[in-house]
Amino acid sequence: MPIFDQGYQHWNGTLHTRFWRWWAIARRGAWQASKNRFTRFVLFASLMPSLALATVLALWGLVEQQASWAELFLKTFGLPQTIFSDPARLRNVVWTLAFHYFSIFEFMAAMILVLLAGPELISQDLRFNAMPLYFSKPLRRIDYFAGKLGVIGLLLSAVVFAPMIIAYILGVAFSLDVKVVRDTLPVLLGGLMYGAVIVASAGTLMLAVSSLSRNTRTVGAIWIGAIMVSQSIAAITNETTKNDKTRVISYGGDLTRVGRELLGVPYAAQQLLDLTDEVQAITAHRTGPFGIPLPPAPPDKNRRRAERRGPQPQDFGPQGRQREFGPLFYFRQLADDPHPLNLSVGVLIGVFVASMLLLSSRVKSLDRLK
Amino acid sequence: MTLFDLKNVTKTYGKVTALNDLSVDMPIGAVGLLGPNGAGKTTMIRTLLGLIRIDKGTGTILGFDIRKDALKIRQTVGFVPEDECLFPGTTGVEFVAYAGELAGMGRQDAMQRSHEVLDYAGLSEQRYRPVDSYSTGMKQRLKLAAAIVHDPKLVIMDEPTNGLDPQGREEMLELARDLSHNKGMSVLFSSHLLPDVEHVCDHIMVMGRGKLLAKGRIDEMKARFESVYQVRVKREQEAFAHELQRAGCRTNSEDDALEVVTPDGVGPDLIWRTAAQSGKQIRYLRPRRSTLEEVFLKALED
Repeated sequence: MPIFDQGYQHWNGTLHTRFWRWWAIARRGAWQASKNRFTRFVLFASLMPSLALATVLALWGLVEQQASWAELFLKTFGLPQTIFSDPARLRNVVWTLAFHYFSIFEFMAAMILVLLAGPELISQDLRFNAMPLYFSKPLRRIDYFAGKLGVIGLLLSAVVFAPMIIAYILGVAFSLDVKVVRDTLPVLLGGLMYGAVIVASAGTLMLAVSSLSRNTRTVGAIWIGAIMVSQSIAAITNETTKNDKTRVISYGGDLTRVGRELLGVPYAAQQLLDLTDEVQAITAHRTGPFGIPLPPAPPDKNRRRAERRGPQPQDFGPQGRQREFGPLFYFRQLADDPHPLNLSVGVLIGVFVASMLLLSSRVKSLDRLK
Repeated sequence: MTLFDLKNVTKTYGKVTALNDLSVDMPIGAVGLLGPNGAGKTTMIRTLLGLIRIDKGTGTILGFDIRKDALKIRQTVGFVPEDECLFPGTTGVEFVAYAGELAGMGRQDAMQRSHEVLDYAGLSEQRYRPVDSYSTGMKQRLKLAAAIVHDPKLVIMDEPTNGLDPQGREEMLELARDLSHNKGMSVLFSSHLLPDVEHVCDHIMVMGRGKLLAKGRIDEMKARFESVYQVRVKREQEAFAHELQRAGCRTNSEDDALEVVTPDGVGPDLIWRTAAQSGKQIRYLRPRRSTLEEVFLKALED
């Protein structure tokens, strides 16, 4: 029996508009990537920080409502009771810092996901010569790139966007105060914008790297190398030259710097520092678990030793600032971020433009394909 | 309505002229695009698909302007590329459904249609196998299924029988012929193999060095020399020519051979009989090449 005897039926269905063609590529790519068990593990593991974020926001909501057990919670951990007098003034600080810590973990998860799913996005198409199949369909190159970028966007939305939004809704729900939305919406929007920046920047960079080789392992190695090497060079040059501008060499550092700015972390940290004096005054009269008064804390061993020997050269930072340690130092660093923002933005824009140029030269239309 | 109509189309890649002031129009139906490697067939196909920017000239395909309506053309036309190309990590049914989605079909429609065209292409048993494990013939049929999933008006096949074993080649040719002759789909069949084109197509255009060498209906181009033979005998060729004329043939001396036209309905038996009766020894007898073959061979020689 000839093989065509089963017949051929004409098709009269409706076609989608061209605007959504990229979505088919994105959806299929994300589904393909999710078949990798490591990717599934990272997707699952990255839910933990989002659970923590939701928990913190919900707890803070209860603190704002002055729930009795929340008061007990504060007392148990020796936190200042003045928080109860007007918790709303700390709302933005707490939410911002909660989102900040969440974004640190999610940034790592995002980078790992990009590493797991990104290398094969274009390199596999080049290896299996799939370009003629794509471009013989009614697709433009921009649709193809958007679809491939959409794969990274979809995966990252599972670890960044969706958890952030869900945690935000939970936080608002537990606060039982409409004003929370007014105070904290910029934090959510900043977080979402940060996610979009990661997708756009890391996504296009990964696509560009993916177009360089037909071997996905090579692409993965280039990606890890680019991230780690830039990080190391930035750290070494910063240490040797004492110039904060050298921090922009680190690609990951640039992304996180922009993220901190979008979340409003420097302003939140400054607000926190402004409260320091008040908090220190309160903590001088410390109370332990269940409100038992405690004697003033003795200065720790390092501080006593430092006070005895006086200031040493190594105690001073690059700009002659005296070095501090501990959380206060960390918040001071956040408030007065030494990582130059404008340069970081410039570097990210430069990397984006370079990635697009590389992509456009590597992924050619059929005009120049063999 | 014409299938395509190109006027003075020129396309160069650096110093290489792929299409050289090409002007051609072909009717709807099964059209063979014949020419040796490097003749400009693939460039012409990409021009028709609106995939490349031509340097000069104008053209339409199914009424769409090749310069302005590239996406509309690719919506209406299916393309079977020459090279081995796959969407990695897919099964057969996913491959074809994905091609349908890229053409704008809904997910469900694309999946349903994928099963239908895979049945048609004879891949129903292998539809759930990873495409990487397909044989060359199966991959070719898979590409054809992906090209026709959105039911195009025209399917362009670029060297579809390359690298196929005889059975695979036969199946591919049958599919192409069935699409063009029974399913109302026009086919542009590019090949450098004359028998393949003859099997599938009604019309043909022969290209060489980016130019059109010949075009027309295959049966007309072949029929012109149906009863013409080239004959060479051992000695006394002129005398043998007279014998043939007495037997009702027309003869014409052509270098060291005779061109013999037998009466209608009479084959080469008459020439053999005449030679036997006159005691002549035939050294060479073959049908005169058709115009098509001559043009094609000339293109190959160039």
